Formats: sequence, C-alpha cells, structure tokens
Amino acid sequence: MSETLWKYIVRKFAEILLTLLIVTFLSFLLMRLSPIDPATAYVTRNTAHVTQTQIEDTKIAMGLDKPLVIQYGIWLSKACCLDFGTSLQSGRAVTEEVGKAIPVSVAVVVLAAFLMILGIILIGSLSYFLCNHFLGHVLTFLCIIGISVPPFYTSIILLDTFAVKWSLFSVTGNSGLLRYCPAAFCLAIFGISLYSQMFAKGLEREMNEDYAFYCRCRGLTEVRILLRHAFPHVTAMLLPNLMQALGLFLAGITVIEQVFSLPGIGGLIIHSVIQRDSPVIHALVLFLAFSLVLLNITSDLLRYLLLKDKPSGKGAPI
Amino acid sequence: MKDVGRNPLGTVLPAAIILICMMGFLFSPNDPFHVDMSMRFLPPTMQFPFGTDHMGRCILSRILEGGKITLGIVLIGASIVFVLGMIMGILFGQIKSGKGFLLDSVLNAVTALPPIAYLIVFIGAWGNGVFTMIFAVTISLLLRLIKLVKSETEIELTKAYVLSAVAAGVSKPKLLLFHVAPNVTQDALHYICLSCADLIMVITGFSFIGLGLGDNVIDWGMMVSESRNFVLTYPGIMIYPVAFILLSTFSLNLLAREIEKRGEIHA
Repeated sequence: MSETLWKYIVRKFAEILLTLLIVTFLSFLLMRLSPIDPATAYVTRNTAHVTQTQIEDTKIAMGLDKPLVIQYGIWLSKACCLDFGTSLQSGRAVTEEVGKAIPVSVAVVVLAAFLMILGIILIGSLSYFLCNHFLGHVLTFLCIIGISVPPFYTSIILLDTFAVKWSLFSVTGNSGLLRYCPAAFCLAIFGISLYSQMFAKGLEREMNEDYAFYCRCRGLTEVRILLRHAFPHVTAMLLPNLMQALGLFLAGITVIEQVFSLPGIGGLIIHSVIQRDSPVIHALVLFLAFSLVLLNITSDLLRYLLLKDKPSGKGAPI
Repeated sequence: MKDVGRNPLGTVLPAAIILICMMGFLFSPNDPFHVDMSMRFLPPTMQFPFGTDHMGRCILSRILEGGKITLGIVLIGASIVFVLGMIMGILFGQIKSGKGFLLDSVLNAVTALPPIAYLIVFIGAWGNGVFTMIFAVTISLLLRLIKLVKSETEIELTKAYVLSAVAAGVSKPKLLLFHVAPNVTQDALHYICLSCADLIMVITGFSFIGLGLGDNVIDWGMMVSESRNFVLTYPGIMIYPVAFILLSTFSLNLLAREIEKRGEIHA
C-alpha cells in the first residue's frame, strides 16, 4: 500500500459522502417540489372525509411543517443509526421493509452477473475467432438486437412461451435459486450483448500488440497467447465497466422484478411511488445510491490496482 | 481502411426510421382515441392497416401517437442535453487544472450514479408524466455528458494542433468553437445515441409496469402492457408496439455504431 493509494482512497471516500449527500438531498428537494403533497396523499388515502385541519395535523406529525433543510437534517441524523422512520403505507419500520426486499434483488443481480461474465467470455471469444467470417457479422447483428430489445419484452416472451405454453418452469412457485434464474437471465442478455462486443474488440487489439507478436516469435500457440496474455489484459480493461453494469442492473431490476413478481426493491419502488410513501422512497434512494457508489469505487480500485501492478516484475503476464 | 463515404445508408436509414416514428402521427389514418366496441380485434384492413385492439381502436394510429410521445420525450431531452452539455463541458474543460478541484469532485460525485438511477429518483418524487420525464431525462444525461465533454476537451487541449492554432494567433473563443468543438462532437453524439436507446427502453419499461405517463397519454410501453392480457388469443396485437420499440432502439444503436466507426477511420 503506497501513500498515493491512501490519498486516492481518502479522496474517493470524500466523493462517496458527497454523492450520497447530494442524491438524498435531491430526493428531499424533489419530494418537496412535487405537485402532490405526501401528507395530503396520506390523509386522502386513509380517511373518507378529508378536512384541512387533518392535513395540517398530519403534516406536523410527519414533520413536513419544518423547513426543508431541518427536515433533511433530522432524517440524516436518524439515517446514520439506520432508522428511516415508518412506512406510511404499511406502518412497519422502513428498515424492515427494505431489508426484506434487498436479499431478493441482490440474489437476482449476483446471479445475473455470473451469467453475464460467462456469456461475455463465451460469446466474446467466439466473435473474436469469427471476426472475419460471415457468422461473425451475424453474431454482431444479434448482439445489436440484444442491446435493443427491452428487457421487459424478453421477460414476457420467456414467461409466456417457456412457463405458460410449454410449462418448463412454473410462473411463481419455484423455490431457491431457480426462482431467480429467469429474471437474472433476462437482465444478463443486455450485458452480454453489450460487453461481448467490447471484449472481442479488446482481444483483437491486444493480439495486434507488440508483446503478442513477440509471443508468436517465441513459438507460442495462438490459443495460449490468447488465454495467458490477452485475456488478463482485456479483463482488466473490462472489469470497471462490468461493475458499472452491475449498477445498471440494480436500477434496471425494477421492471424485471415486476414482471416476474419477485418481492424485491423493484416492487417496493413502484408501490412506494404510487402510494407516495416518502420515507420508503428516501431510504430506497439512499440504498440505490450507496450500492451504486460502492460498485463504482470497487471498479475504480480494481482498475487502479490492476494497472498499477502491471509493469512490476514477476507474475505479470507480459 | 474502408472509404469514409462508403455507405451513407448506414446513417441515413436509421435516422430516417427514427424521424418517421416520431413524425408519423401527422399521417395517422384514424383517431387514436376513438373507441368502437363493435370493431374489436379486427384483422388488418385498408381502414385499419394494423387491425384494431381490445377496444376497437386503430393500432397504427395509436403506435404513431405513442411514437410521438416516447421518442418526443427522448429526442427533445437529448437535444437540450447536447447543446447544454457541449457548451458547459467545453467551458469547464478549458479551466486550468488545479483551479477546478471543487468542480471536479462535485462532477465526479454527481456522475457516480447512472442516469437510470436519477430517473428513478425523479419518478419517485414526482410521479410519472411527460414533463417530468423530459426534465428527468435532461438532468440525468446532462451531468454525464458534461463530464465526458470536459475530459475530452482537456485531452484535446494538450494536442499539437491546438498549440499550432494558438501559435498562429487564434483567439480563445475561436479556438474552442472551431478547433476543439468539432473534435469533441463525435463522442458526444455517440454517447447521446446510446443513451437515447437506453432511455427508450427505460421509459417504455416504466410505463409497461404501470407507472404510465398519465391518463390519456399513449405510449408504447403502455400498449404492450394493455395487449398482454390478450396475447395468447391475439398475439398480433403485442407484436406491433414491440416491433416499433425494437426498430427505434435498434436504429439508434446502429447510428451510434456508425458514428463510432467514422471516428476510427478519421483517427
């Protein structure tokens, strides 16, 4: 651990805090600017006869009468102890609600990431080998289509053909990991199509580098050069992007979870938005931002470490 | 290397498709809102080129109207983003390093989240509506574009041609406008095209799961979710909106690819 690395980590840490502050404040600000007042929405939902005093009372009970910055400060100090208040809709603690949803979403995302990495390596290498072949163009074309198909459509097709028509798996009743597989697969398709092309391009570039030429002069086979030398380089290049893709998964999961009716954060987001359940929304925003930032940091650190270690001595593949 | 002007079709065709999808509502054959329960699920005829849906409405007209909304949001947002992003990015980029430390860290902090996350924040706070969407799209893309253009500008400013231009006595505004900006435009356009394709999918996705753009607003995602109930008996109804979503995102992705390719040839 060098000193520059520590400096780097400290700076990154400051940036994380800044990001989280900005984003959560944004969610407060937007909520305040929103045309629909949460207190009014809450009262109209829960009582048949709405009076102005009732709305005012609820506002005070929810702390909405204080200035925005003070509201934010109160929320922030409580959030530091993981207390996000209670959900307006169910009356349960937000921590509990969100805590129940997170494992589901994380399971889907991790599974999707696994599938994605597998797919990228397979399809990426395939399209590298086929790059001047007719089939290579077909593969590229398929990949562009893969980026263009909305994930919700792939999931509908998957459900309607495999589950409903052929009943290969049941729509809701599966347990364990199998339950998350279809959703993860639909998420992964996008990533695979996008990054396998980048992977193939990276391989092509690395194989034209001087070191690859030198390896060929040493009499190494093409496959060995590819596996031992080009693969690590391209992986190092792509890893940060993959981390970002995971972030996109987290955000894109809202729609997919809804289609497969998984009780993850996606469903929670939708419900809280429709019900204008502000404590849940704020907590979810914080969670999303936090996990995305964490992924970003990991990708940055990985890039830093991978590129840092490359020129130094033994073990390096060059 | 292949010739630059080799295939104008590569850029013209996708652009034309997008334009047709967006402006097609001017030529819609029927009123997209007209309900006629005696004409449900008609097969394609001369009067209804794509047939009718479960409420007897003309599918083609609805698709064209939906295209106006969906693509309209994305393209209006994207053009605002492009103009503002280029201007602000270049202006920020020419600030000498060291001075812009605060700006740098704020920009880094804000762009740590992908645009979709901002979209979710906006929808969460404001609900879903056409103007919310345009606003959210603009903000979420703008931040990233500014960062992109800024770092590109910083790289461009160290290149030899800039030094030559300065030595030749070009003034700063002229340098930025005529020498730096054209070299940055391409990456910005590439980024915008890709994000537009993403955004179309996100917006249709949200309205598909029920966060529609509001009452009486037609868009493609809503059409897919409406037709889903009838997909086993009338699979045709769902094909049309999905095909159009696919067509427009595919065109945008192709366009981005073409732009990227051009850059490689120039370089």
